[in-house]
Amino acid sequence: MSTYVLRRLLLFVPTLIGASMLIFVMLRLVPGDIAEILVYQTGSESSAVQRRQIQQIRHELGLDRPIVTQYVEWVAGALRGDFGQSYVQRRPVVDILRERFPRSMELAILTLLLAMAWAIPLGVVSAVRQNGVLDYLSRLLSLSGLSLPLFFTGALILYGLVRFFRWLPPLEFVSFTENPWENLKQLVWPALAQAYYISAPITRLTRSQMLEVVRQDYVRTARAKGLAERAVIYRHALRNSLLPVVTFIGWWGGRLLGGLVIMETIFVVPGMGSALIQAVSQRDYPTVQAMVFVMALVFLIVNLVVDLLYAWLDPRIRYA
Amino acid sequence: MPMRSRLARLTVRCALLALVVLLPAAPAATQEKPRPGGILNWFDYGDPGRLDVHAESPLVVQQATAGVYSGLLQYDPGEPSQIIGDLAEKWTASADGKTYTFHLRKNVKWHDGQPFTSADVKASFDRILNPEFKSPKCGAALKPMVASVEAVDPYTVEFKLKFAAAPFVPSIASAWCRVAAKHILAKYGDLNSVEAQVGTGPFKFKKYERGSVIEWEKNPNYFMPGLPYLDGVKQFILVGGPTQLAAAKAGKVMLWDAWPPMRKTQADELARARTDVDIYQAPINTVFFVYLNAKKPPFDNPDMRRAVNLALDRQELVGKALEGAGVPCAILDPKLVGEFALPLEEVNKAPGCRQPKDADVAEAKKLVEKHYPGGLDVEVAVRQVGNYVDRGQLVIAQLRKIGIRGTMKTHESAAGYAAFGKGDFTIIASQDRAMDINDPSGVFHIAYTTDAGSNYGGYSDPKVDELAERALKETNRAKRKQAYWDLQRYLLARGDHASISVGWVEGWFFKDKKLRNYKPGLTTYDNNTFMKAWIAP
Amino acid sequence: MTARMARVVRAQPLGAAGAVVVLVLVLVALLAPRLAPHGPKETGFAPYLAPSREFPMGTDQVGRDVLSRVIWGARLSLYVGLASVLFGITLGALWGVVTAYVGGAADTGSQRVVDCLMALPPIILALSLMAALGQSVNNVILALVILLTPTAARTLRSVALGVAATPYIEAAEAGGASRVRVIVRHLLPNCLASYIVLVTTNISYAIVVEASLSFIGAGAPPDEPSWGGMLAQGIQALETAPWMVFFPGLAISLAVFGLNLLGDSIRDLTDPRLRGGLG
Repeated sequence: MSTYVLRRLLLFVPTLIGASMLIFVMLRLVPGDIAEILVYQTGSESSAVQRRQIQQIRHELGLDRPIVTQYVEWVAGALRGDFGQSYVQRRPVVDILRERFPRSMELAILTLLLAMAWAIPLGVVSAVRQNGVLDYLSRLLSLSGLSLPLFFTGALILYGLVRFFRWLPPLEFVSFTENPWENLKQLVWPALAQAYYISAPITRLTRSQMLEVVRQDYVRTARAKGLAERAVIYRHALRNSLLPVVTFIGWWGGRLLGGLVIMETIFVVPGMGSALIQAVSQRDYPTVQAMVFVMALVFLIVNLVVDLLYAWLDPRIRYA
Repeated sequence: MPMRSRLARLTVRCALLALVVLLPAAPAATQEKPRPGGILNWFDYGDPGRLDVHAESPLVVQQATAGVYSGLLQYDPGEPSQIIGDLAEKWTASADGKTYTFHLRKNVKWHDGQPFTSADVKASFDRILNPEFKSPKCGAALKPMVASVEAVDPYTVEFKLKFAAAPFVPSIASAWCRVAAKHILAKYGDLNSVEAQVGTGPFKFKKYERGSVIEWEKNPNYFMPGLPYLDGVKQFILVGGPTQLAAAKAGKVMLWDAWPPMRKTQADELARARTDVDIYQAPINTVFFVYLNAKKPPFDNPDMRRAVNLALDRQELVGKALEGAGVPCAILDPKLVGEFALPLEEVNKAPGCRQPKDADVAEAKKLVEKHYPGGLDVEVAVRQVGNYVDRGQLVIAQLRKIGIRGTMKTHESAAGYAAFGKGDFTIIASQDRAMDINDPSGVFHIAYTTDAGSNYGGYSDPKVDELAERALKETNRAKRKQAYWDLQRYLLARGDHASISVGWVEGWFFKDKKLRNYKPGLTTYDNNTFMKAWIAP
Repeated sequence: MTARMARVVRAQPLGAAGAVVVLVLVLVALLAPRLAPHGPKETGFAPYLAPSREFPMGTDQVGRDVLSRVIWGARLSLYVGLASVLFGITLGALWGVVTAYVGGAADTGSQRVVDCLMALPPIILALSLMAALGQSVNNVILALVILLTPTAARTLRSVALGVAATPYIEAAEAGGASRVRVIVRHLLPNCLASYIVLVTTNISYAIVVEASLSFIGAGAPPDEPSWGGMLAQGIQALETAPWMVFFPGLAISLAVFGLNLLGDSIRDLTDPRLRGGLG
């Protein structure tokens, strides 16, 4: 078991190197760096001055050095837990991460909880009443979440709250520890929209797993023993069919951190997503690199945890 | 509980309304006694990230720190077209117009309690004027004009100019030329951090929750006795139209008076949702330009530039793309710079600006045919922000009429700046450029002279440079006006410039009716210190 | 034949409805030039006109006919969805199946590449790609391909692993079939069902992601009539001109419902364990 975990952890290394290299190179392929943006966007000074200023900024930030040198230096720093200074905020990126990471994590967890609370019952109903009206209804219901882009659902929620309740979620972020009620009042809406959006695959998976498990021998046995249908479904079928569902949700959860970009922007949540998209548009390389790195790491860790959980829940799986 | 209190408030409001209706004593409105207290809520359209007003150029930076600092001079919060003293009680110019002396207020304290003296002014302007220091707003404006700054005594500062320059005073009064404390600059090196936000202004910098909110609180020791009235100002950081409009409709913000202005549809929507606001249309001191690249074919050919100048239907562009909110064709906007602007009747008779367009379009078509008998294909670039793409579509449709077949190329916002700055385009269909100061000189040194920072097309006409230079150095108002008229007439008559003014942009804004004593500034940058604003019950 | 179809319809009414919707959308896309009363980029009309006899879906902010844009949008959105999914899923499927079968270092290595691509936040990946390559419809497809390929590779790999372990494949190997032959003749056909399901469900995913990219300014060029782009522009006038979002929103929803219901049915029909009702 521990050698398995160790091996998996070792496999993190090539993945993280690959992911960080990829984003490193891609960022530099995007036209315009921060120097050009700062200077050309203002466009107040003569063109000769502008050119000189661009060179000066690039030099200050080390952007005029070969890309390999820049990458090696970045890795060296990252190994020491130093992700450099944000080009825009001129303060350590680690500070920015420390501020933003917990907020996005909270939003992601809230989203997953809401998604499960909504999607799994729908899937169960759907399976129990296979090909009945309730099955169709719940499938349509969960699909409806997928059928509109998130930004649109988000905008509709904002519009609807103002239009019908003359109320808007708080615009000022308050942390959960500071004031849980105010915090949830703001976060529950983006979480709802996002949960609604990701519920369709969860419902679908729950349904098909249930259908599969219901036909398996031990369930038949349970039925034959004369257990009430209800008990069969909840005690036996559901528990066993939830395994792959949990895996799937975990897998989603790992990617969710990066998927919150749009919801954070619309609902003014100062998390990683909104910071990341801003950092990309401002070409704040260190911030983007660090945030993408953290997101990749979370993705890998969540995957590992899900796999371990899976093995723990299902005794049939053993590690070689 | 909140339901009931809302109801109660509503009842009170209705009662008050009834009272107002019953009492026809209208003059009360003009002589209201300012009421202290209350927090003003409004918003920034983005997260400033950095806070150094001397070194940065985005509006969000200026807006985030506006109330914290004072300048030597300022645009009068009560009458924004007037320049009045701020830290300087009075100021004088020498007879030759090359020396300005500022007499500073005494007993002014920095927010940390240190006394303010001329040494702070000198430190600030030495920093801004340092050729090695990138100061894109204040520095860019002052560096060409100012030779040196001297502290004559603790309460007197002298600016020596390189030449007598009319834009000097408007520049010093600009919201970007703020005075920072010498000891703070020495301690922190720059003004980026929250700790370094120590000014002499009506508000103290209280809180910066990045990506969420910026708060100021009342400075109880402000040098203007009795001011400010407000207890504080809160700026939410709201990115994107849907969120901004939702906040406005829900009554979470009292004011929308910065970039981006509301679109007509947003203003209509707000008007339906709230009756307690004044919605107004106002200029934002910004020009909507179409740029042609004069450094490469086909627009290195003056005939081709002339053809586009003739063909563009500015009235249609303003009517459709700006929803009518703008002054088409003007090189200077009379609403902003008054008599310096060529009268609009004259502008609207100029080739390319006159209606109907038929004759101009026919002539333009001939010009294009002369050089490209089969017409030509060009790439029409826009940055993908605001409604630039819509504008681009309209421009393409207009150019099609004269045989120029455009295909749209959209750039991600920042990538677009990089491309345009390097001259990597053929036509830019839409690029707005905001003026840093409200002075007729601004637009020419931004977009028309050879060296201008936003002369993306690389247009160069020695005569334009010379006329602009002459107008800049002219201090006699009548002669200066004549010089700018000559320049505008010259540009309109030549009609081959590469920076084409489609119009001066206006937009819709709103102000809560309870917000008093606030008048929008003449640029988006000025007049957001809220020094004299107050909130009626 | 018809009897069989009737049976399928009775067993899978939702799937059948989905198939009809998809068919209609495809027809609209194919016949767009004939169906649309105006050009999708034609700006000559008054802006924000409410739906009327002349403009059944109204006009948009620059005076384009919304109906024509929705019709042309079917072509564009389906093209983006179909092309990106066909390329992305096919590429991913081949990758997944081949590496699963070959195994060893190639498999472990390719797994790391898949991890790498999946670990990057998709929106940011797409946004930087679009900014680097420039905005065009084909670049949106490329970005979507890069998002879809690793997911498909991972899913198909696990399917192929399952298939490869069956005695059937062992028998083929024992019979002396070459590796290529085993992959082409035995492995791939057995993964076809999963492939088809991935394709049908991901077309709608691609359409919706394109819409999200439009919202952050990295989708298809906004003058192109993509449904997502129309939605993104329409939310600026949600109340004044609700028709600007209603019709493209309806179109997207229909496409998503149609494609997913169809995909679900295919899944049910091809998965013997779920065949329940069809017997």
